[in-house]
Amino acid sequence: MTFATAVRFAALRPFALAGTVFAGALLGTPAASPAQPVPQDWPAKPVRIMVGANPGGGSDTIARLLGDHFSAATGQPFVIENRPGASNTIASDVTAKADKDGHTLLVAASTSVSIAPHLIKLGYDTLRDIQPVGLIALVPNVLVVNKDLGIDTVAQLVEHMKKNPGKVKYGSSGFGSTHVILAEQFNLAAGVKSVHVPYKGAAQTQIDIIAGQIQMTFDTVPAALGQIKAGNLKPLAVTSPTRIPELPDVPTIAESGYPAVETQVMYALYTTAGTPRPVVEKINALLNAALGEKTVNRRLVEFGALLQPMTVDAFDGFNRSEYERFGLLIRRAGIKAGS
Amino acid sequence: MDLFDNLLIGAQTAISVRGMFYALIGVVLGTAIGVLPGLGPVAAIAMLLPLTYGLQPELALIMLAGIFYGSQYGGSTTSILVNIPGESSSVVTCLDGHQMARQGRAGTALATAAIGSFFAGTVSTVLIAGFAPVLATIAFRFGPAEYFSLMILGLVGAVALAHGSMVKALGMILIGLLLGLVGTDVTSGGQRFTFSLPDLFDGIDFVAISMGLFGIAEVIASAGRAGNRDILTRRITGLLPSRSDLRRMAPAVLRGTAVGSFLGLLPGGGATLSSFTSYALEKKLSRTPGAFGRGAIEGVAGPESANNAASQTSFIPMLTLGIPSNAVMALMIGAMMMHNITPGPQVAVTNPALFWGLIVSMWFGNLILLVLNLPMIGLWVKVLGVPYRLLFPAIVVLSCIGAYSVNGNGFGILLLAGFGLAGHLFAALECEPAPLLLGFVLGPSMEEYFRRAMLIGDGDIAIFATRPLSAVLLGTAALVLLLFALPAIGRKRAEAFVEGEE
Repeated sequence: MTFATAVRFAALRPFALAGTVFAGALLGTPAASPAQPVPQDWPAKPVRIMVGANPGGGSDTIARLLGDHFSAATGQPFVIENRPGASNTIASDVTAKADKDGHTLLVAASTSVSIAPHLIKLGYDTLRDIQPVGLIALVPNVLVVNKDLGIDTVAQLVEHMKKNPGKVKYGSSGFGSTHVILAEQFNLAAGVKSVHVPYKGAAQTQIDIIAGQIQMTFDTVPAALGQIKAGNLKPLAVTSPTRIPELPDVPTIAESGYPAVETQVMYALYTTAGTPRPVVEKINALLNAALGEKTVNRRLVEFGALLQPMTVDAFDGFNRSEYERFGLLIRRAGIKAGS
Repeated sequence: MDLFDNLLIGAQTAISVRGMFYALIGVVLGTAIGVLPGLGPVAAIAMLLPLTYGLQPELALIMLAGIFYGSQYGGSTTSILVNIPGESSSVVTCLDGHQMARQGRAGTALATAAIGSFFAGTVSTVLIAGFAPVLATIAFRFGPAEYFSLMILGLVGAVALAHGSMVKALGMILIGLLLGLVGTDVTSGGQRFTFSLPDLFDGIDFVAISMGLFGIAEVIASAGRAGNRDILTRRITGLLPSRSDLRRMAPAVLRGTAVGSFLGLLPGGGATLSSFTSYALEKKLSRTPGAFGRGAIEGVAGPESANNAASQTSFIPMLTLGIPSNAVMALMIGAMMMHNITPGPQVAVTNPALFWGLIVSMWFGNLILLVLNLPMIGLWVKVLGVPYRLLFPAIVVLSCIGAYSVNGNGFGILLLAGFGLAGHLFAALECEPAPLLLGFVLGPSMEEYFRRAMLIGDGDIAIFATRPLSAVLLGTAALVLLLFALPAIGRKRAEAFVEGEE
């Protein structure tokens, strides 16, 4: 029962942040103070970490892992707030419009910060209103096909697709997911055609590939690894620049002849633009310390992620280049909403 | 290999002090979550997941599983007592369960739900233990075309949910389908019926619509019946089902268990569809269909058994294939990966203590639920004795918190209020909300499967007829529709309706 109560209070938290005195008193937390804190004071009060997806997904798991670590390191509670919806951009929207004091953080993936801005109309400007803090992890994708097709290499797949134009169907996790961008990019690079069949998530896609309803997908390695190891899905290539330890025999997509398809899903930490630079630096240092910490590190690696801590400036550059690169891929492939 | 040896291994894990302790925590938390509207097992498990890092993996899974099936149990309690479905799978329990409560038989309804759930839990646990690997392959036989046809059959059956005019029932299904279309289209990303309101981009939430149409509408209606204020408290007869009650509920429980066990196996089916299907089936088979919606015990026993059976068998694809059939199962897979266990066919071999321990704990957890819930019934029934001037505001506040907590904003409360008024209007027009809700739940998935099947079939609609399983399902749907449409049957429906009216 106490747990359920805590959950309801967490749900009430936006009231407190909106400055409602009643809810603030109820929570026992001070109402949001308009004054800018001295950087050394960060965190001066509980920090919320916005997540654009439901509990349980990749960004949520990572946010909870980091949140626990940040709480222990700073002595202030870090509360995860899930605001799913609109291609995971609602959480970004909240972050963009929050107080510029670093007490609202955002854990986001490529879908919401690099892809969605090119596809849907947003109430904020991703590059202008959201401050990049640091890279958390890069997660490689893997091209998998139905194992009964008798296809063992990317070259064989391309040959098969050329012989059967429009017959090969690829699954995705819906409009605007990295699966679509990768598959369309692959079509462009190899000069082939495949049909997009959208799904609600990786599990359903996998079932239909195993059952032979559809033929291929670009899935994230953590999602696909179990079925690959069980021999149910045939991996053809990973989209990371180098081979990965979990799948040492699977070539990279560049080795297979299509370097243009090389793409990893990025998970990163952001805060509101306009947050004082020393605060941003402090959060970056906290993040990079957490990534170096043994338990956090081990769990992220088990999750299938490659860790690559960056300074604020380095990540700002990386974030921008990912934004531009996905924008280019989307324009080239002619992907548009509502079409 | 021997089933008995395997169950013994499982029992060593599950019936240990720690195993029982975590099963207990799981089902108690689950019951609480099921009772609170708006807070589902997915959010609860996700929040508890980090706490399980330090536990042995089998104990972590035992607890998380307990939360899941415990919430299915708890969801029925609010349905029966205050007409608010705690979980989507307990919507149909409102129809007859709350009517029973209004007739002073709340205790019987709660006991029926608990006993039916326990029986279903026991049978489906045996199914998992004995046949999991064989049953798992059923998931692969259901492609998009088969799911679409299955849902057509479900919708046609939904006509049975209403006890009044068939035309009105069909109309309500269509309204439900339309409401289900609101939001962003998965395929193209286009906006439908959202009127540029960002709050509608992800569609209308089930919590707001179900609590509005049932709970709030009920409060408005009861407040209008000033003369009968004491109807709930007037006569609370026996808490436990009588012998004739048991005789009536037994076949319903058996059929509900069968329906639920099967639909739980399908990653696209699940507990909600199974409870609706079971209700429709019971009403169709009943000799007194007019009694449904007026406190028929079969209308509680069938669906409650079905949703519990389905929540148990939905573990099968996860345990044997490593494929999650719903969000809760996806979280369980995440929990296994956190402990370096790769879910899949090999789990039973590499981690027998985990695999069999989980299975034995499910039966044990169901037993705990029964033992916990039967004595609680007396306490729950007292809730009905609370004066309306206190009970009604409490229901409204609880509903608002539930609607608010879904997305953490006030829009959910506006929707709740809107659907509460709509529910009152429907009641005045004698249109029933249950078919609307089924249309709302099934509509979006049906569309999704339809379009997916069309893409896979290269745009040829024949795919639904040329795939044998799909053709059989569609044929059955046509047959059911024909039965409803036959004039003789139509007259019988009318008679039954008049009988029930007395």
